[in-house]
Amino acid sequence: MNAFLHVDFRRCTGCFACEAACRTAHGGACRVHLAFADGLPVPLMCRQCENSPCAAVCPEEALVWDKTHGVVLLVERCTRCGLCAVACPFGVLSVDPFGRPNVVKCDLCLGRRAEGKRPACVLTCPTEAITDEPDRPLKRRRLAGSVPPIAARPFSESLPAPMGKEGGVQGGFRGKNPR
Amino acid sequence: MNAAPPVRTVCPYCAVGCHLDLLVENGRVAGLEHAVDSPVNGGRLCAKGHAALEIVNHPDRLQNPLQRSASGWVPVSWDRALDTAAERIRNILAAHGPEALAFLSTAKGSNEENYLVQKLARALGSNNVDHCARLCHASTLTGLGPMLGMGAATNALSDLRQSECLFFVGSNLAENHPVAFRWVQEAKDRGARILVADPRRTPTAWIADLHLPLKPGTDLALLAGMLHVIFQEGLQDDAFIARRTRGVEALRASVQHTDPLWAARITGVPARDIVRAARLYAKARRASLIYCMGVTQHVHGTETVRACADLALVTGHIGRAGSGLFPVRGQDNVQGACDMGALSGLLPGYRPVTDPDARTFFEKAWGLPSGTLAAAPGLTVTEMEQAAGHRVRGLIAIGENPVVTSPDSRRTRENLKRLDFLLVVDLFLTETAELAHLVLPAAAWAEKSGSRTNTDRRVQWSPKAVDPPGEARPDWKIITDLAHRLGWDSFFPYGSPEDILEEIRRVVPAYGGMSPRRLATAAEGIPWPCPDETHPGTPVLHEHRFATEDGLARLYPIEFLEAPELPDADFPYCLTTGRVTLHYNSGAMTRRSPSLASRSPYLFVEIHPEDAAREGLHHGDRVRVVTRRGALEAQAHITGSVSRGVVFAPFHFPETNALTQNVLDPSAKIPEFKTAACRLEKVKGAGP
Repeated sequence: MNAFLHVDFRRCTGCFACEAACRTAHGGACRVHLAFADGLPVPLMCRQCENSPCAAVCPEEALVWDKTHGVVLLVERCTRCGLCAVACPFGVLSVDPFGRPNVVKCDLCLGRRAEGKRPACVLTCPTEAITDEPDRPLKRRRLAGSVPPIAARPFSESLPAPMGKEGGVQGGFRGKNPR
Repeated sequence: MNAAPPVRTVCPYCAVGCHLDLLVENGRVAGLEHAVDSPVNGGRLCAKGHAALEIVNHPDRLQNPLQRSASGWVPVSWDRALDTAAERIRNILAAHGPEALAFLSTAKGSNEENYLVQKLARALGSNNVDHCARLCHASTLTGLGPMLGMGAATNALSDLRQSECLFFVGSNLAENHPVAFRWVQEAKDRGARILVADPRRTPTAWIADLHLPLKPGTDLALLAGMLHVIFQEGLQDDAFIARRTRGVEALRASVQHTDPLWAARITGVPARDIVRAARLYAKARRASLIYCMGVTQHVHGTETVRACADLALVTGHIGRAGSGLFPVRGQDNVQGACDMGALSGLLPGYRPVTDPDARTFFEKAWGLPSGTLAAAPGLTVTEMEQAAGHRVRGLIAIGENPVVTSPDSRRTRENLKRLDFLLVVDLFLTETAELAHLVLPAAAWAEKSGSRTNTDRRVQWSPKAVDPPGEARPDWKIITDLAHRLGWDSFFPYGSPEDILEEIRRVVPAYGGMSPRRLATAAEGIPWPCPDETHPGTPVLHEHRFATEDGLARLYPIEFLEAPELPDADFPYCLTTGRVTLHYNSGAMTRRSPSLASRSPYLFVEIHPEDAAREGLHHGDRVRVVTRRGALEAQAHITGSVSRGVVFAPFHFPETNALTQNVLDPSAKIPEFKTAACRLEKVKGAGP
């Protein structure tokens, strides 16, 4: 499996199945968030960024990115300082100072994958808006003839270092979009 | 975990019939497994399906029979409760005759339970048995029955993926049947065109190639306009019309004057879009027409359903894989409840009560003395509620919540209070149960076995996984016990739902081949008609002949009629009602589910930004919506997804139906839920 989930928000119907499935799979806190922009839904969950702002700011190096599991939390290192939640550009990471687990973020259903099952939100999404096969949406769009066939590389090998010029990763995000 | 293998049950919510695998530990449902290998849903579930367990293990579930007393509810034993019920029913029968007794059956019960309810009612000599199909798809039965011979979906829902054009009329499949929507998405991936006619830009309309935002209650004009274009441009399937239908001339004459410009004036949809829609639908090789309560819940519901069928017949889009007419049912077993004859005018298998042969057949089959079955059709749901406290003295409501679901609910409530005896069988103390004299605790879907029929006529068996909480009992057991106390023991000799299904097989030909064993092993269920054990079932209806006497479909002329209450100076907006994805019908289950109620906890109304500006309303304000019948207060959601002049309110909350009109379709007796003239008043003093 790929270490991230692909979201095609144009397929999302806002049925909340992903949130419900996530709650059922993880008990309690939900790691997928259905955000609405102008009344249209976008499922948001940890993007498992390769140059993760959350991992970059973590003073204890409790968050690490690896190719098979995405951004992984090392629970024993975490001090619940909350910097990662501040750094996350998608706002999909939260820190619960008292609850368990301490950092609430999508772990791509680690437990389910260990049992050979697919992540709960992927399995349950009625319209395949969330998928763990990133080539599927591409194939679908090729079927409709809108994308030329190119070889997709799942991971880029040479990207700039996490800390950008403008004082951090988020500098790159700000300013680009005036809204 | 080394628990027992999961029990595969059928989801209790909508009519798609998804499989839910329940993990049982120590006699309790402990968890839910995604039914990955299910041919129906392949592991997919919507938010309601995920929340189904919250109903089974809900702390508010009724556990004992409750009797009303001067000091409130008193728990009583089953013996005492059933004796009381039988005595009160006997008193009413003796004093007022069987006509004074009415039964509300339930689309949430199994086929077996619905069959028993109508059998008991009819054995007592009353045709006053009906259920909530009257409020959602009664016009499908009265509309399609005479045209096609059968008022049911013609194809399996999975067939949608083979269509090249999907035309949704008044159906919000994406929100109400989310799991079925994946077939629509698959069709779109293959390049199918999606047309959606709906006053709101619903999630179904988000993926539409063409959205026709018509005024509520004008669907008939839109369809007439499309038919005009089809005949005008010669897009009709002449071979199909000649070979399989009758009455095309009358139809053609009736749509002679309904040109797109006329339709555009009435519906508010641009004429060119009506022309485009007609061309896209008629020219597609395989096209499906999906309609739902936006079509049926009107005074002219029957006519509008017939216009839908006219469109499908004239273009030949019926009776083939990928081409069909889909009335999408709302509840898990509303199709089955209709099949079982839980309708005031129809015996099991849609045989009319007015037909003497049908009555003789059932009297013989049930071993009743000749002349027991009443010849006149009984009262429908809305008529029962109007007559409650007057002509109707006793009402037995099983899994129904008319105080929330019926129109003009204030009057319904007053009438129910006047009854001599109101018996409610339900999972929870619903708004209706609070008015009852006696409340009996029922078993939820996971706590009883039974067969259920989905919207595409697939009959699936849902086995029992756990015991009901406390002393709750399954409905079939309650009805059987009640029948025994009423002295009908020899006519109700059932020890299990399987026994009842065996009897159903004998009297309903379409279910003839559905033995309990066969149903239990059929992974996807069996679509009726299935006359014998070797028959594989019928996924596509009307392939070679229609179910009418001569095998030909009837085309009906279209006559446009206006909605009974149009916006005027005092009530300038049109209130329309509908469903939202997180709630389900009367909300008795979903408003009690923490995970669903927390996401959608209160009633809201959707208002167009221009209307909101005129009324001085802002997003989140408290607003009072007033109609001639009542008022509700809700939070205002300002959104461009509703058309100008339209106010939308979900009907899952008890307040909504205080506003709707109790005006009935003359033949289907379905109330006009979808239009009501209203005005908006800002509630002062309540900040956002």
